[in-house]
Amino acid sequence: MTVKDEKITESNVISKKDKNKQEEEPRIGVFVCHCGHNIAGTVDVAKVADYARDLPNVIKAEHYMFMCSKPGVQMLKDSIEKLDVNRTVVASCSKNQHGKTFAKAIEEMGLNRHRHQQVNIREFNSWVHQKEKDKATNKAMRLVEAGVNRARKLKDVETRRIPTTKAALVIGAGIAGLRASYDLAELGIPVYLIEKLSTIGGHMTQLNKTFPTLECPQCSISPLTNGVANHPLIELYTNAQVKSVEGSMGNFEVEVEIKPRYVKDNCTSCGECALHCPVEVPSEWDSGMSMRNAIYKAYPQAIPATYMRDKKSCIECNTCINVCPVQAVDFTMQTETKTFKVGSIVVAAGYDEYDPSEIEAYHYGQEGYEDVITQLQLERMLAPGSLTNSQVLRLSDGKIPKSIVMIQCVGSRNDQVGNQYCTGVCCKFAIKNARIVKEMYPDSDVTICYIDIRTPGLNFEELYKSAQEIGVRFIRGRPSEIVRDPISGNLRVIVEDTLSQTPLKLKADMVVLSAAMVPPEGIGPLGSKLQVLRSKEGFLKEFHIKMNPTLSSKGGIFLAGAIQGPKDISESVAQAGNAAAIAAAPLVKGYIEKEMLIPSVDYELCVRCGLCKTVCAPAAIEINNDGTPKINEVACKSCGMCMPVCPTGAIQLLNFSDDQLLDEIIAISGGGAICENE
Amino acid sequence: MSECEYIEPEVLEKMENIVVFMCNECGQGSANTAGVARMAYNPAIRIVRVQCTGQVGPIQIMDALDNGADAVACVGCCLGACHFFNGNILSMHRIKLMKKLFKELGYSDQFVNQYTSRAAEGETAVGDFEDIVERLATAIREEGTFKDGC
Repeated sequence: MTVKDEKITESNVISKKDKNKQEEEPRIGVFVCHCGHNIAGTVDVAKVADYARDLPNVIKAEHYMFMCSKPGVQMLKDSIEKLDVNRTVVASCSKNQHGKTFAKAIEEMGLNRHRHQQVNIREFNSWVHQKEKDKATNKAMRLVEAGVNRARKLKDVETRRIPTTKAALVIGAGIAGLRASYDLAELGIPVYLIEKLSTIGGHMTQLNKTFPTLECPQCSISPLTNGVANHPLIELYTNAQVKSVEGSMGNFEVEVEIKPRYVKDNCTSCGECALHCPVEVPSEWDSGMSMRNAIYKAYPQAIPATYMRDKKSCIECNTCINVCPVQAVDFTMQTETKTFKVGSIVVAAGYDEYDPSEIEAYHYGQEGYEDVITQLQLERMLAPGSLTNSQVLRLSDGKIPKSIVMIQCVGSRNDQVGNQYCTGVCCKFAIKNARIVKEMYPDSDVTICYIDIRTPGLNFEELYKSAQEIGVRFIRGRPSEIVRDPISGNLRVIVEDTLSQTPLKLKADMVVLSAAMVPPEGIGPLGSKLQVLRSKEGFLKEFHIKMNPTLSSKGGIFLAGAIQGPKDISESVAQAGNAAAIAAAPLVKGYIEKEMLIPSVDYELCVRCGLCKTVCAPAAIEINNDGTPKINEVACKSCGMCMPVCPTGAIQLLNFSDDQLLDEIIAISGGGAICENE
Repeated sequence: MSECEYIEPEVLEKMENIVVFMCNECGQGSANTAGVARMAYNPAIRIVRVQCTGQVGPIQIMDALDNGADAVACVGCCLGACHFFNGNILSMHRIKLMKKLFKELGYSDQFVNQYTSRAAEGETAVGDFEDIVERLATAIREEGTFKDGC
C-alpha cells in the first residue's frame, strides 16, 4: 500500500497545481461494461469497479451490462447531471468502436468530447486472456487505473472553424483531371487546371477504340475537352508544372511555372507555320508513329488549338515568323510563374506506358526488331488519320503482317523485371485490339500469349468470348524470348503452352507488347512538392485503400485516376467525380472544422534548436525570426513526433504531454517507483 | 513462435508488466484485430495508446521501466506505411540508440524493442508480443529482471 499512498500524495500535489491554474477539480466517473459475457465472462467487473471507486478523484464507479445501450449512455449522462462528473472513463471496447458514442454523449451534456477516456478491456484484455481470469481482472484494474490517471488531466480540445479559399487546382488534364475540373466548376468553384503537355485529353485521345463497346474515344472525350476549355470558371494552363506548394488543407498557395508556347493566342491554327517548317522529329503524342515539325499541333482536334514551338528541336530559321498570316509566332515569349490561392488540390497526373526496353529478351527498340511494338503504338497505327491510313503495317517493310503475336504482362506481374502488380487493363485492351485486327485481316493469325486472362466486370467476358469466336488464338504461357532469324530477319516468339505443356516457336511478323501502366515521369518531385506519400510502386498513396481511396496522405489533396494506381477510363472517371465531390465539400461549405489537438510551445524552455521542425512530416512547424517554432494549427496532424526530439520538453502535444503520459505509465507499469529502498 | 521456445514458469512469473506503446493507427488496429480473433497472448502485455510511435521518447520508456515495467516495446505501422510519414523509422532509430545505451550501462538490450504490425492482421501484433516475451525471457535467464539490476 505504500506504493499507492505515494501516488495519492503525488496526484494531490498535481491537482493543487491545477487549482492554481483556476481549473476545477477533476470529478471522474468510471463505468465498467460487461459487454454481455464478453468482458464479464473473463474479468470480475464488480471487483474492477470497486477498485476504481477507491482511486483518487473518482466520484462514481459503476458496472453495467451494456454501456453502449441507451440506459448505459443515460447512466453516463445522469452522472454528469447529478454528480457533476466532469471526466468520464468507460472501460469497454476499443476507442474506434464505441469511444465516439460516449464522447458524443458527454458532448450532449455540455462537456468537451475530449474529456472522455476510453479504456479497452475487451479486445486488449478479456478476449485475449480468456483462460487467465485472475490475471485478466488484475490487468483490467491496472488499465482502468491508467485510464483514470489519464482522465484526470484531460484538457478541453477546441474545435475550430477554418475558412477555406473557394478555388481548386487540378494537376493533369487527362480524362480524370478533365472530369474533376468540370465537376468542380459545375459546383461553382473556380478551377485552375494545369497540364504538363501542350494539349489536354491525355492518353485517352491517343486510343483508337475504347473497350468494351469499341467506341471512338475522341468522340466521347471531345464534349468534355470543349466543355472544360470553354467553361467560364475553369482557367486552363498548358505547358505548366507545379513549382512549389505552401499552406495546408483549405488554404494552399501554389506556384505554377508556365512554359511559353512561342505562339500567341491569336493563332488561327491555319497550319502555315508547320507546313513551312524544315525540321521534322518523331511525334511524342503519336508514340513515334508519325513525324511532327518543330512548330506543331499535337493532333488536329487538339485543345487548345494554338500551335506550339518546340524550342529544343527548333533551328531558329524564322520561317514560321515570316509565313504566319496573323503574326502570332513570337520567339521572345518568356516562362511565366503564377501563384494560385486554392482550397483543394486534385492530383490527376495519370500514368506512363512502361518502357519494355528494360526486358532484354524482348529486344524492344533494338535494331532489327522494329516490328516489336507496344499496344499504344498499335493503337496509334489503327487510329483514324494515322500515317498508315489506319492499316496495321510492319514498321520494317510496310507489309501487312500475316501473323501477329501479342505478349501480355510486359512489365506487370513479374518479380524479376518491371512490376509486381497486375495492371488490370492490359488483357482488356489486348483482346480489343486483337479482335479489331482479326476483323480487319481475317487471314492473319492473331495470337495472345497470356499468363491469366483477367476480364472481370460487365461486358468484358463477352468481349473475350467474341474474340475467341472470331478466331483469336490464346496461348497460356509467358514468352521467354523473341528471336530473330539473322538471314531472313523473321521474328519468332518462344513460348511454352503451359496447358498442353508443349514448347512452341511462334512465327511472328509483328509482336505487340502489352506494356504495363507505371507512375508518370516526374511524380517523385511532384510528390515531394505536395508532401504526399507514395506507394512502393511509385504511385501516390491513398489515405485508405477501401474507405478513402481518393484522399491522399495529406488533407486537402485528392487523387483522381491512374495516379493512385492502374485504372481504366471508367474507373478513372468515377474516381475523378468522387475526388471533385470531396474536394468541393469544404469549399462549398466555406470552412473546415478541425480539432485543435496540437502541440503548445513553452517559449521559456525553448532553446531554439529547431529540431521540432526537422521531424515534422506535414511541415506544420515553421521557425520564427527569433528561432522559436511556430505551429501551423491547420497543417498539424497531431502525431506528437516533435515531442521526444525536444531537448528541453518545451513542445508538448495537447492531451498527450509527457506529464499526462507519465500518469498513465505509472499506473499501467505497476505503479510506484521500484527503488523503494533508496 | 511461442511453441518453438519453451519458457519456464518461474521466468514467466517474473514478467508482470510489459508496457507496449502502440500507435493510434496500425498498432491499435492490429491489437484490436487480434482481440476480435481471440488470439491469446501473455496477460503481462499492457497497451498504451499513443498517437504515433514517433511520439514515444526515452522519457516515456525510462518512466515505464522506472515504474515497474519489465520490458518496453513500441509497435508502429509497417516501414513505409506510417500514417505520419516516418514516425516508425524515427522510433526505430531511437530504440536502437536506447539499446546501445542499455548495453553501455550494463543492462541487457532486450528490455526495449521496436516492432511493426499491420492493422488487418492480428497475427502481426500477437507475433510481436510473443517476441517481446521471448526476448525478455532470454534476458531474465541471462541477467535477471530489470528490477533486480536496480
